[in-house]
Amino acid sequence: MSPPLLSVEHLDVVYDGTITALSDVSLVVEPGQVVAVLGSNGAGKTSLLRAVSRSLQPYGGTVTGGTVRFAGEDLAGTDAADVVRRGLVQVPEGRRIFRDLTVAENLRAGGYTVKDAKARAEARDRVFDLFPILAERRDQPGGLLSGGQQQMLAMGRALMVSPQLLLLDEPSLGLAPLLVDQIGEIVTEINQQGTAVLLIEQNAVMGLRVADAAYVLETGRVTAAGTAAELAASDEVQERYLGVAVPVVATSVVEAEPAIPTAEPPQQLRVEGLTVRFGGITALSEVSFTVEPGTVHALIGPNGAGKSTLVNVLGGAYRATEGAVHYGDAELTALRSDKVAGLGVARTFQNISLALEDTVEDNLLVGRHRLMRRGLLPGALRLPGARREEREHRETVAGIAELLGIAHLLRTPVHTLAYGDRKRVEMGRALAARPSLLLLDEPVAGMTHGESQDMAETIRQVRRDLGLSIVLVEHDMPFVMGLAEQVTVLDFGKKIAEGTPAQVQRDPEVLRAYLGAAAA
Amino acid sequence: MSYFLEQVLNGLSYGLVLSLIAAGFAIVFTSTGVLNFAHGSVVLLGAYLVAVLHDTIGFWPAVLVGLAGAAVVGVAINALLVRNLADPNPGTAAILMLGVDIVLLTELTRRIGNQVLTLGAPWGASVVRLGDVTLPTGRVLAAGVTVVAFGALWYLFSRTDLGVGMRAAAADGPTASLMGIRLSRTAATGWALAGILAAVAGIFLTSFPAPGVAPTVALSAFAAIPAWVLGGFDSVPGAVVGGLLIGLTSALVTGYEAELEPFLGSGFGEVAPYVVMIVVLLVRPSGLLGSKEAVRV
Amino acid sequence: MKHRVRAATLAAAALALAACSTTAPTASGGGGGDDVRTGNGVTADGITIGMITDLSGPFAAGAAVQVTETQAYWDQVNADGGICDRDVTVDVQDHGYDPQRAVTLYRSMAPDVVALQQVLGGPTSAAVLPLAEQDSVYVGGVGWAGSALAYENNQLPGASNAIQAANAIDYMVDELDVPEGSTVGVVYFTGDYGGDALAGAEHAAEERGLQILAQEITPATTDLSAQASALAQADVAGVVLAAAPTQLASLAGVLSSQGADVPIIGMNPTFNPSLLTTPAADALLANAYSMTSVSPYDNPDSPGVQAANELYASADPTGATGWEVPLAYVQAELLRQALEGACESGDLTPEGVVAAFRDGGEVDTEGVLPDGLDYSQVGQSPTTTVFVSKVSADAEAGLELLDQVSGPSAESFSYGG
Repeated sequence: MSPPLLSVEHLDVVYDGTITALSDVSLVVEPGQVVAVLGSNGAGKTSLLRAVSRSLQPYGGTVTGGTVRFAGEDLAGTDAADVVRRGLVQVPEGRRIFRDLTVAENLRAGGYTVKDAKARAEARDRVFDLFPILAERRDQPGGLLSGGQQQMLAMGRALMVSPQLLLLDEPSLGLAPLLVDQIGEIVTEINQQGTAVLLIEQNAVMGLRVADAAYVLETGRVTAAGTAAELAASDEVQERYLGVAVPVVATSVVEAEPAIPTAEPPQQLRVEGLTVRFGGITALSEVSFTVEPGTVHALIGPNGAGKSTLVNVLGGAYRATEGAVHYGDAELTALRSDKVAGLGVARTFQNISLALEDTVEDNLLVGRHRLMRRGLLPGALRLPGARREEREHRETVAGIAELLGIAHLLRTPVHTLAYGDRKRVEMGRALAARPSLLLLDEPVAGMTHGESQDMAETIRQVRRDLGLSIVLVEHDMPFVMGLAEQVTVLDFGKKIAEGTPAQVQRDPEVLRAYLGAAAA
Repeated sequence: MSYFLEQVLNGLSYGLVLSLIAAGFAIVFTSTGVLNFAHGSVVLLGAYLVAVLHDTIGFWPAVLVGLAGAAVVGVAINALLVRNLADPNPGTAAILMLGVDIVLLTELTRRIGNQVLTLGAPWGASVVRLGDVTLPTGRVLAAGVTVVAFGALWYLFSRTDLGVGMRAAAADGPTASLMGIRLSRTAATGWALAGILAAVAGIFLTSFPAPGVAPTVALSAFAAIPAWVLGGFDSVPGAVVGGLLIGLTSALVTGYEAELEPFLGSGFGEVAPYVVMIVVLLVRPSGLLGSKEAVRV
Repeated sequence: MKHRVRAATLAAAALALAACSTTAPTASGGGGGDDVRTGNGVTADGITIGMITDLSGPFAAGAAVQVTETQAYWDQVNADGGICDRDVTVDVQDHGYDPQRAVTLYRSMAPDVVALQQVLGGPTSAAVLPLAEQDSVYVGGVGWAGSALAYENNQLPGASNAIQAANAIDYMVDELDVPEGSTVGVVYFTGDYGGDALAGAEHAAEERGLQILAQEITPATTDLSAQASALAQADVAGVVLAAAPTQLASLAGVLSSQGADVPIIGMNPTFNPSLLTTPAADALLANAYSMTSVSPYDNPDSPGVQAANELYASADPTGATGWEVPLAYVQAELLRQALEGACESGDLTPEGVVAAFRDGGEVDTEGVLPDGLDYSQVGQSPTTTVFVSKVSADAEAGLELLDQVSGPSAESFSYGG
């Protein structure tokens, strides 16, 4: 009997010598199989792929136990470049295409190890057959492709070496449902052409649909394994990763008096005729809507609809080309971003931006910065007034951490935290400034269904306890539906619908533009 | 008019030589993220090798040794020092490079002494006359060689696997290594290229109209820094444009110093490159052609 | 780099013993056994002088020649009986052309030296001179910039840069057929040296009815194409160059390639014999002159220069020859005369040494410097006479001495007036 294509046995991985990412993980991929590894963020999925592709070292990780065999050969002592030459290629998380290189050059870099010109030309033709759009845009810089096209390029780039085993790290992350379906079909097609696939997914629906077998990874250990069908049928997987057991219900608006009032009461946010152009490209076109004080207002739309641009204008990072945004009496569009913060507007970012080496508490205290009255000198000299103020700040921060469920992590450095917790820390930092308007940019991107349900609950609680307005940018439709009072839908920079979640959900325009194939 | 033309051609040819040095800065920066402040002494080293060897082995073989020597020193700096840096942040690396520069420069200064070493270039002090315009042959040659060198670089970076691999590694090292691109190899290639470009520049900076190899040649690399910066830290085409702009500016400001003096005061030619750099950076903070990533909105 | 020679110790001790029998030791100073007042750097049998030079920086090579010559000179002085019956020790320190280090070195040396024969380099000496003036410590060669003349404690070895430049203009008009009304270029380093030369040239140009086209450069400017083109365009009849050898060769080469066959007169440090191996050699031989405060290496008529060269040849037979040899010799010579003057007036203290060279007495350097040096006026050049040499393939070290000149505008030039 021939050995399995990939066999991982009792693998242990440790970062920075102390933080255990994987312990005793075993996994097998047979030739021609698609194997999915499911798990929430921070479960160790990416570490598993890095251990297989021998790319742990740049991230400070090491294999401390167990073996990884590829086609029967132990990969110990090989490096990333070696395994590529043996036919094992990883597509990294977040696509990581070379933005300044053209599509053709990206593919060329992918085929770097293929010295035979004919083999390379054949591989390229196969990639172009699989992704005709890449052939069409071959001379454009990769950075100009859409998210879905970038994912195709990342996969095509890996296929240039005609691998025996393709490692895919979260190919559906951040993509709208229509595109996720498409990526799933492509994975199947790649597999049918004879390439085995090891797929890592937090989107269990997609993972289980394309896979033959699957593993569930939790906090660095395999907690379930079986065929895709077996796992899809198990209660635990259904509840945690497929969201089947938790029906999404729109919660009623809680009218309770806020427990911790904001520094200032929230005001009405009015966006009027907002247009933003970058060079010749119109990112937003005459968008208007109003956020009533103390409500959760969602902005939804597929990738590239202009949601992030809108948040960036609200946060003061981008300038409006035309139109205006008023918060109460103040015109946000006329202010610099630091002044916008002074009005009580705080935001989080789509890609988490935290000081990774610092503790959670320090990161949260950064959010207090605007409210620190005493200067550096009294602080440095530890004068009594400064000490009292510092204590107050720490108490406030502790209260926010409590609210977000991260109080037990206050002394922990951020870089050791799981993804979902980091998202909470980032929200906590924004809240530490005691805003009256909170802008949340994709708070559940990259979370499993279970995690995003937890996050929804947290957001509800924040609104209830802090009594502020929240503008929520998301493309996860069910998440928004259970949370927001009002929804504004954007597509291609234009507002296409507006109303309560129930109204929007029924709008045919929204179904067509946003939900795509899933709604058809 | 011919005077103007002469200053323009002078400035452009000098600017091309500067752009060789600036391109070396840019290549090292993109391939290893290091601000290579030892580049000036590598320029000097290349020229020094040619100067001491041309008598015994002939000028052209000496040139080959000079180019190879500068490349080897660049590769060695990277392999022995940069790669083994315990704290691989750009600031530490830059300070390390300043240290390397001092060591190399002190040794070369000791060897050169207060001599001006002649390069033995076959074009000597000859000049080319085009109508009323007189240009040193060395300069005409420098322009030609530089254009060829940049043509070769363009070919390398856009038409060969190695070059595309280097650009990929520069853009995102960890991802590039997932394609089987060995970062140690692309980095070494970058340092070698920068060394070769530096040596070529060194040869033209120390042959006529400059008299020969003296330690001050290392300072010429500093004249290329504004060219590098205003072109954008990570752009070879930017380095070319920057070099031409700086060369042209200093030639014209110096050439018309008498006319400009009432407004700008004397000695403005020395400052002009930095003024140009600051003005460019005020308008375009990432330099003329520096990477402002192609971002989809 | 400490170097001690004790050749004459016995003789000195014997003399001291004899003196001891007649006079009581003075209260101040190091307790010498004679009737000379002593202070820092002087003991009963030894004198320490300092030299803060550049052994690791850009001027290391030239500095090494000067250190060799200086050591040889004082070795010989000691062999001949020393100064004031004491052996002279030279404490050589390296500032690496770093003003900060020069200041630190000065501070640590000042208590132990009676005088500094040299602080090499413009910025380094500019940092040390004011401190040394406060301490009344003699400082010898620091270059020839007029700014150094303001310090009472500084003894300039010959004419200042402005005097050299003024003489250069006079020489062009009087000997090189530069006609009245024509334009002369002045290409100069930014800073004290170049600025002083420009001031002298401007004064002389006004006196002699010439126009000046000034071009400022830095030591990093090694290619003077643009400057040369501008000079050729202005149709200059001659060029005064206050820069370094690299600039001289570049300027001469480019001017000649553009058909500008005009004299180029460089100031003190602008010529180096190795320039004659560069492609600019022909142009230099045709048109380059040197206007120096110190005699060039090749000067058979000066016993001082001959002595200097012989001393150097025996100290380092394979060493590089050049103008540093007579320069180091004459700096040591000037200090020796100041030390002896101080000894004679019975005040071998730092203040005494400064007073001795400023007392207006005869200074004879046997032709290494022009005769008739006058150090009595603080703030003015000690002489208006300079050496004119022409670049020559036949002369040793590449410079053939033509004449000593003191032109009318050099004589009418006055600092601060």
